[in-house]
Amino acid sequence: MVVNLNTFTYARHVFVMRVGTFIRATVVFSLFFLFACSKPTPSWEWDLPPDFNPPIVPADNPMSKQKVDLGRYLFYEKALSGNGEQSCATCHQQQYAFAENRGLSIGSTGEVHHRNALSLTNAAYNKSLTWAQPELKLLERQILIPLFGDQPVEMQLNQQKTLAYLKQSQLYRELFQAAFPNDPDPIHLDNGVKALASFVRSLISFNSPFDRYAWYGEDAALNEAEIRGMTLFMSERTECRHCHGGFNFSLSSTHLNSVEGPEDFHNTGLYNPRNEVKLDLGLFEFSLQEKDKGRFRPPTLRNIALTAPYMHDGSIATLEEVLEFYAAGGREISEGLYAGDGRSHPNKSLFLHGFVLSEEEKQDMLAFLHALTDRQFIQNPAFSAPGKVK
Amino acid sequence: MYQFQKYDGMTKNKVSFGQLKTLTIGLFVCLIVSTAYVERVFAEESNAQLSPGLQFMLGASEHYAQVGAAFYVSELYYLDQAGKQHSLKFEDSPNSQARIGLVKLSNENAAQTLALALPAAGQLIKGLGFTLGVPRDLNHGYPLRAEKPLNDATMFWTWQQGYKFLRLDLAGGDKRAALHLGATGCESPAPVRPPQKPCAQPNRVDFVWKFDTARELKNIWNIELNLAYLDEQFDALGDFQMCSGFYANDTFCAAWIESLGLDLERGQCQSSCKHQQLFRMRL
Repeated sequence: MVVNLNTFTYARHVFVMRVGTFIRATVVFSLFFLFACSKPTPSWEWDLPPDFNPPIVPADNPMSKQKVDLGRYLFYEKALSGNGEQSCATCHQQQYAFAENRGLSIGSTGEVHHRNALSLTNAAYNKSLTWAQPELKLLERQILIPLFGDQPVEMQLNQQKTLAYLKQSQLYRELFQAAFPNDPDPIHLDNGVKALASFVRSLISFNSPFDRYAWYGEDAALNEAEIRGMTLFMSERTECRHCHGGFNFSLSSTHLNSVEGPEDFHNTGLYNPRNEVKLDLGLFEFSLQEKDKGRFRPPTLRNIALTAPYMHDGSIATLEEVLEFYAAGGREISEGLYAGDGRSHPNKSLFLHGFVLSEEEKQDMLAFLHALTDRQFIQNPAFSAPGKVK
Repeated sequence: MYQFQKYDGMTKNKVSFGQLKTLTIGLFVCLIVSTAYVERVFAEESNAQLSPGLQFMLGASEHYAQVGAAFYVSELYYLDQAGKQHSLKFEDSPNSQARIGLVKLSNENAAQTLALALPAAGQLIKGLGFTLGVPRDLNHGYPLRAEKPLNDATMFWTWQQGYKFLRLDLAGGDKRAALHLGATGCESPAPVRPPQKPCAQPNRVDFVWKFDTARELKNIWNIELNLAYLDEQFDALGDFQMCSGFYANDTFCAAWIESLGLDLERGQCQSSCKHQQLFRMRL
């Protein structure tokens, strides 16, 4: 297009064009920064077997390496506890697949809890969290329980004191800044919880001999006894798979491509209900329905050989005893406070009808359960305690 | 705020005739627009309700206060007036893909429809049929790649056995019972390896309902889970009854399997599955 202009008109035209160009460029750059830079660059790759679906991650807390790094420091940070001597890792120790080797956990005030600390193995895939809370589905919410819970007291976080400590630390200032680059004042509880949740989500374990056999097609990864044990485990005879089935050995699991099914909680016949004894009522505490008394979520059996003692209250010491418990279809306690026959609990699962195993079959089952141990998981330096914070 | 008083032609801050006229016209316009909107919404809802499909329903039960039923429906077809079989597809939905649909019924959700993708309007049919179960090529696929509706962990057994085709969980009084039906006698080196040969007892049930007079395919086909039939067996039921796999080992489980018309040894219906009593069509 030819434009015939005098000098003034031309200058005005150029000025207007330049202002227009400037405004357009400003708008384009603003939009670029708004959309491209407002979110941390996705920098997370799940360590999963081929074709595995990743876990569900809440939209307001996408995974990033920076958040996982910060979460790892916080997970091992004793300043998060009231007594300054406990961290998340006190009850969730890597060597025990992020469970602990005691029946009942002890909180910051010395209070003994009424439940066994669950393993954090693949917690990202849990349909719900803790032993019996069907609506508690987000790690970001669950983490508030150990931090602030008072029945029982767990970590007893002093928010003001802890935030002051984190703010005076050069390392934490850098870690929070890297994890939440768009937050001008990133050191606060919400970001801390998001980072902790990201670290816990990163605790993925799919490298046991079973996984190598099942998902990588390595026929030599399991020996004959382990395969016989697996066959028994997944048979109608033992019915283990009804509660501990699926890729995560718990039907209470979900992933990005799964459908939202009903929650699975089960009464295993551990105790006989007696009015005079205060039992842990499990799902009943949430639903207040009689049928839910004594029902608990089946935890994953991944790394189960590392997480003794067992059951929601840590009342069974070894895997051998757990097998005997299920073979008997529940437990009869002959004396003491909890004396009674749990096998006749009216809410006991239909699948717990008991079974008979020969000694060889029992050893096969145990061999299989040990084949669910992921050594790489408990030795992975990315999950271990970081260096001392200065 | 305006006060509606008798118009005297003089008073200020009172509604004039012109204003009243405008207001009235506005109200009419609003009324017409909202009526049109309501009509549209109702029409959409009516269409949704009238979408052709298989509507599965829980029948009434005298004994079972709590019922959970879940099952796969596949290989859907209709019979034309000459008796020739034509395959049908399900609409794509959260519970279905073209070849297969999953129905989940409970006391809280006593009916569910699997919508049909009809080839063209106006077919007259003399019969309708489907298979209760998962087709063999889908039953033993790599479970981690399973697409809907096969991505439901509560319906999955193992890679070797595949899926539970039918899952009935019942409770009434002090009695509780469960029937989980799927393929049995499946051979492979391990439960996490698919079988190369068909399972010894496929345990799929073929249903067909034939009509004396031709009916329009574009319809809602009501199929009821016949709980009254299960009621008849209630007295014979023990306090805890679990039927999952070893059906032939238990008299009660065997009776249930036979109620589907299945032969326990072969896991197939004898000549056809017409003797089944668990599902019935309400025409």
